[in-house]
Amino acid sequence: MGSDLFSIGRTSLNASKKSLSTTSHNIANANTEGFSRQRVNLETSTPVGNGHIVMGTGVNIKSVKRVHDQLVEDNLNDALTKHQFNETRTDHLSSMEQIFNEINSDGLNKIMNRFFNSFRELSNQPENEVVRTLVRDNAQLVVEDFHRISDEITQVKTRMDNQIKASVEEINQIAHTVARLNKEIVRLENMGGETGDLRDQRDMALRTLSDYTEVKGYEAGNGEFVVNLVGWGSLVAGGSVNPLVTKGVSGDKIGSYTDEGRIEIAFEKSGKASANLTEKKGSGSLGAIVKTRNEELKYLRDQLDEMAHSLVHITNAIHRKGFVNRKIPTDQQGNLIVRPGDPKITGINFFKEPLDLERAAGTLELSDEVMDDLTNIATGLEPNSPGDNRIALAISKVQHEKLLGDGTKTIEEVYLETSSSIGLASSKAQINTEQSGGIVAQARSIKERISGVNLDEEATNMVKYQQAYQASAKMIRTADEMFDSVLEMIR
Amino acid sequence: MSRVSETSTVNAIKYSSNRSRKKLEDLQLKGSNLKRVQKPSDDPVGNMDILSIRSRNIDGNQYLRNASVAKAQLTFTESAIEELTELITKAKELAIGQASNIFDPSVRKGIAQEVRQLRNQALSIANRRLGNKYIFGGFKTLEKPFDSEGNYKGDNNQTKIEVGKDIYVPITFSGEKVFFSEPNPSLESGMPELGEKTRTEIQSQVQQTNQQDPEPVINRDPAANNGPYQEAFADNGSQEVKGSIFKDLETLENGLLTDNHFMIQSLLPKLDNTLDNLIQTRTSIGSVINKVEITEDNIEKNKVENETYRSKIEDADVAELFTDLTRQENVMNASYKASAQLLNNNLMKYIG
Repeated sequence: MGSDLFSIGRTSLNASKKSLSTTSHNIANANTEGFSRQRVNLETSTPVGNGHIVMGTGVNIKSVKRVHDQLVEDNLNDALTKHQFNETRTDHLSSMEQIFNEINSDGLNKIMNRFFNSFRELSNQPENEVVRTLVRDNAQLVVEDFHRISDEITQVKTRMDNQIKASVEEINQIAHTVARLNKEIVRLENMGGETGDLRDQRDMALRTLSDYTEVKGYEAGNGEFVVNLVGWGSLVAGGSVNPLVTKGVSGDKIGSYTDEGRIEIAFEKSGKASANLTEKKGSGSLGAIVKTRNEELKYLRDQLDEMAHSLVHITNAIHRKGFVNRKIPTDQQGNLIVRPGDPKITGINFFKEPLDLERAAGTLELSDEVMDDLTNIATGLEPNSPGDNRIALAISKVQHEKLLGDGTKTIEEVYLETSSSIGLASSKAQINTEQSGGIVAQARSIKERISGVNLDEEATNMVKYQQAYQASAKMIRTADEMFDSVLEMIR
Repeated sequence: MSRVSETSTVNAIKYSSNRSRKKLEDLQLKGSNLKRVQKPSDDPVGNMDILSIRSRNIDGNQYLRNASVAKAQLTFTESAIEELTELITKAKELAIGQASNIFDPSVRKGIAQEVRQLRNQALSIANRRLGNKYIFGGFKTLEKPFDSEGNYKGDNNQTKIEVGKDIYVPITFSGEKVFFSEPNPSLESGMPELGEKTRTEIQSQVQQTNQQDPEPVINRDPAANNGPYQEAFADNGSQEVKGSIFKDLETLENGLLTDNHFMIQSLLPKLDNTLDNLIQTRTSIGSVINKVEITEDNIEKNKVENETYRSKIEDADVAELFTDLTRQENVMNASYKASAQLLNNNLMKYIG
């Protein structure tokens, strides 16, 4: 009977101590990311019967479990995936729209406008050499700004490709972490150990994966924990990993110019063509990069190339009709005398030809003739007519020609449309990001409300368990005293 | 009651303070340059309007400059023709005075001298320059259009410039038409034609290089004059119909020197005709100047309208902006205060 008191006291002391240490663990991890608070599950130990009297035998520590709701966890991961998609898109689209932002600075639109107006100025005084310098300088600025935009687009693209590479490396690393945790959890659980902290770590890893792409973690029938990249295939199954690889696809040769190449993602094991994941753009930051790169960036580049290409071709087509602005010798009948070896007097290109549509914006240049000699800038449709301004007028009029979009849009209209459509995409992404940010905050708050540590609660528990501990200790002392009384009785 | 945890509280504080800071930063940026639109995404459609209005304004300034060039040249030409008119009037008076049989030979010698002077004066008007450009040489602006015999070396082309979108005005008048007493020059205000042949050529070239290119590349009024490969004088009838001012004056001089009053009489209708043509030319120059001025007015008016519209889209409403800024500041301060209260309190303070 006395030993009973001791053993009940001992279980009680143990339970309080375990509870206190769990409380302490909770407080210690109050600010640990991804930590779920833990709770000691107690149960009364099996009572013993003595005839019709049933006696309690104390308390039993059943388990230490983390407070966790899988549904809430899945919701949070979903929200994160969507938010990362929006946020990454916002990031890239706003750096793309900055390329076209000329609200506070001069951009291509203003520069092209000046280019056309310099031809208008030239038409006022076609004889003037100084105005020709102005025309050439302005044309050079147009060329440089096309190059600038083209370079910046390339930079954005390179940054995206690097991000894809880094993301894939990160995904593989996390996949290995998950696989290692899977093995550890199975091992510990087989020994009956506590796995709450490890599960927390695995959930954290999954959450980080959710940033990159949509993932689903579940326990398969055989007890293996599987991580599925939704729409792609399984990344982790139990302790084994199916890693991703990036393949640098070297640039395609386009004319004399080499494309900067692209990055493709595939599963390492299934090889090349069968598992090219690049086209399966999901959501998450990886999906956002692939989508933005394949859609908006390509659109920008195509529009820009088309603008450059048509500007060059129409300007050249008109310019070639003109004659150089210098005296060409004539014979008695007024026929022009051109000896073999003389520099060209007509048919001169203003911009360098040939120019492919592909990468036109990055490769256009002024023609050598125009660079070498200002008199090669033609204004007149007739030779030896310094006052003839018809070519200059016609080139200045290209500004208003509806050259693009099947003859419905001027170059300027296309440019403005392009910059506005990137602005529109960017503003949409910004709004989406704000929304999904709110949803993430909400999902996270729901998760934290359930699994997070509340210091007030822990403080209360601490007092509670401390008192229980003290009471148990008192109980043992009482039992001890009772035992002593009995011994004294014998003496 | 739902549970609260440390992390959820902290997250809530972080989220809300981040949000209000971002809004404040946005307002602050707008406040710093008083612009409502900072980047295309702030107002994608407005961005398009702003940039296109800016382009129109740059175009407008260029057109205004073109207009002042046109006006300078036209006024200069007009005054030259005015002088010429006075000169011919003078010659006509002299001719009328000497058209009869009754004359004083010594006076006629003197008058012949005077006519010689008039002729030389006319030649100097014909070779007048604005800056370094001869105004009566057609496209040949850098060579003397008339030699000392009064033969025309220039061509019959007219330089046109654009003084408003698609508004072209002629700024030179062919010396041949003015001094060879032709009907007034064409005042066609269409864009100068690059020629039918040229147009189709350019089209086919552009189509070759760019399949998607639209058809009419150079869409000009085909009625415009000055076809490039057109023979300069082909459509102007035969040479003898034209009485050159110099020839007429020389005839007058000869008539006076040889006392041939029939010769002098026969000149009178010619001089009348010349005067009519000159007055007609002056009138048309005046109407071109008028047109340029109207165009200038319109551009100025458009500029003001455009500016108002642009400002409406681009510029921030200052009163509203600063009200928002103050309010947002208050919101942030309030949320800081609330957060401070929340963060500094917990049960640990009161137990233990």
